[in-house]
Amino acid sequence: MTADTNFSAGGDGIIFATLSQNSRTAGPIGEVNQLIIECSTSKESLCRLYEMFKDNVFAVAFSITADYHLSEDCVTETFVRLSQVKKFSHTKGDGKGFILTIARNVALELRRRYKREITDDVILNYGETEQTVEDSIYINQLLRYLNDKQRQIVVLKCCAELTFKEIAKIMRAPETTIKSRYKRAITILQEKAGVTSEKE
Amino acid sequence: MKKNDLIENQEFEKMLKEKMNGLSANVDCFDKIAARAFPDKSEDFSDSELTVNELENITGKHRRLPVLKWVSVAAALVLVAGVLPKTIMMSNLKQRLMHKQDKTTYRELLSEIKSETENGSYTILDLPLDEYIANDVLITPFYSCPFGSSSKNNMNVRLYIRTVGDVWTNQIYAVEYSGEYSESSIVATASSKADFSDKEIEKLTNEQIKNVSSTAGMAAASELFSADGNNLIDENGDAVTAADFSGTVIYKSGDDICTVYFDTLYYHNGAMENGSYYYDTHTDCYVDGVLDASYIIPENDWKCSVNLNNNDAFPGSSGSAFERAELFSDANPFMISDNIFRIEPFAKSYAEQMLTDDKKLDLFLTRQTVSSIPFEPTAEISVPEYEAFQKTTSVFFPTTIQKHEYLDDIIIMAGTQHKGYTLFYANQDFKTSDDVYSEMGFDDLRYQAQILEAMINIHGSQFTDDQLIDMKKQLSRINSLIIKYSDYERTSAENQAEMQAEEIQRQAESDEQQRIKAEKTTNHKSDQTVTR
Repeated sequence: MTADTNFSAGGDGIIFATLSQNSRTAGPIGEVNQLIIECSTSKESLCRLYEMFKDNVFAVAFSITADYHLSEDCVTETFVRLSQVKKFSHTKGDGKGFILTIARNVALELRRRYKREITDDVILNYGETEQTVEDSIYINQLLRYLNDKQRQIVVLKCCAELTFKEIAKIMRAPETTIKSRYKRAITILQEKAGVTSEKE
Repeated sequence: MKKNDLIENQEFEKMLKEKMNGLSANVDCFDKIAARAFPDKSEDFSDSELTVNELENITGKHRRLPVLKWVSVAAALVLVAGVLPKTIMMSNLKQRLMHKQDKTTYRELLSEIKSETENGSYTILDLPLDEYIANDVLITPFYSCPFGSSSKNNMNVRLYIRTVGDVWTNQIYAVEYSGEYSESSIVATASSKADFSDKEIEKLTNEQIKNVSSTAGMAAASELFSADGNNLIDENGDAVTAADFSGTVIYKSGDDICTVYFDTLYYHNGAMENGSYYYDTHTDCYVDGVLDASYIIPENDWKCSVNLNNNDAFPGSSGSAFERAELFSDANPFMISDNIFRIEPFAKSYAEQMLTDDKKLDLFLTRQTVSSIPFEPTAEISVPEYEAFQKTTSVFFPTTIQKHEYLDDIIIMAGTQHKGYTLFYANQDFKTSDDVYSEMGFDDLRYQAQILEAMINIHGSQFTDDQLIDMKKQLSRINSLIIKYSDYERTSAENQAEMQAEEIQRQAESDEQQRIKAEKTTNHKSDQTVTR
């Protein structure tokens, strides 16, 4: 059963029925927060959050673990943990940041647990399909020029489309630091990507 | 950022996003999530004749055929009964389990602590349990309290930390006791995993490892905080009080021994009594004298914590007032901006102890009249318990700070909960980033030079050209100071090493003579017995 069919099979999902299935961007903060509050009891709400943030959570996880299957596990674990959240203030919280913070913590946890395996390049898992393997290798080759923090910032900015302020909050670092690290990271990446494409 | 750069950046960001989205497009795990998030309740299986075993398929587990199941059970029995007990792995495991069982009993652990601490060189710290729980980072920087909080009053902890000179190792024992310390007042014991052999300690002693201070905390603070009148402010504009301390810990994990030079930066932005702290620790790990960036320090590496009934005494959750935050950035730890300066109240050359207990200054107006003036100290901060770490504690201030209303000094209230807080005044003759180096001793400078060289030579590609130039300037400044120091310091260090070597040699000769003497006496006695 796919997420989409699960979603449409939901019985009490009237307010969600008009939302685009392919939407990859987060809705207004209020809606996301409301969904987080409901997702412990409503499968539809959880499914909607999954649809909205699956890509972002995966990106965060991949930037930390550099492993396709671990990142997939991280997506699962993040949304399971999200469904178990007891307290979430919908007036204060920024739902997207909240979800990505969980994702980052889960990914760091998984990486810590499987650290020895991950550092061994041979065991790195790039997924099954040809395209997945190709993309995994490309991203990993590119991101390996960055250190841990730079990699996370680039992914949070480029793939999760967070603002520097939001990234600063998630990574508990000053906004100016995040900006300077991002700038440095992008310079390195452009340089390296240029070299790679020239070689090709 | 130039316009062209911006466009290039946007294109690059778009490309990366597309690639990453392509990667995650194949991820489809909502079934797994739903099965774990909503077990049973949300599923109605009454019509589908599914059994419990069949349900397991939803979580991705395969059903095994009954025949396979029996075959695997039989094979497992053969393995357990016939093969495994004879293997080395099993005997090792058995030994380890037996060893573990021994160690986790309260009495055994207590007797181990007693014998260990009687023979080895240990620092002993006594402090209230609640203080250790709350201020763990200031007491044992890499370990939190192994005991949970108690409803009883007057519960204390005694820590035994194995030392090499005045440098800590991570071989730590902790005992929780009630009231005054005695064997009968102990209610729980704990032990860290690290266990140094006497040979290892002897080798480390010969290496003459010392506690050294670092500039990483000040560099991070100067990046994190900015100056606003009398206050240091964080990115939100809130006033903060920030400090750091540094030192050396010899860390053993498994068979690996590493010298860890650390710098812990911490700050609070509320009233000290109620506020919690944010902190982060920067480490440089040296294995066999070489900087090893890949070494990861296993924090909170306790082996066991048991109470009188031999039950687990570890706390359910942390009660620490210190919350870890990312304070040390990737930025150069040697770039100290001029927006802050530091005062080290416990290093006596920088600050002078003045009054204790209350926030009043006794001003001698005339020879006979003394006026006590209530005031707020410029900074209030808790500091490490261990003297060697305490001495390195620096409190940071903005260079825009104004003079005190009554005095030309900055007043710091610093100390620990159970020993009390002390007021220090320091003359506002503060230090610039350059002065920081000129105040350092020979060992600190040598350590800073070593780190800088490693940064330039090994990690140089991570820095911009400007940063590298600055780092080289700093290195040359440090080296010039080292040259000034070196004549005297090097001679005294060499003399000390020579004296120690002579002492060891003398000791060895004396031991040998005693052994020969004892042998002779034994032989003489046995000869006499034979003659008789």
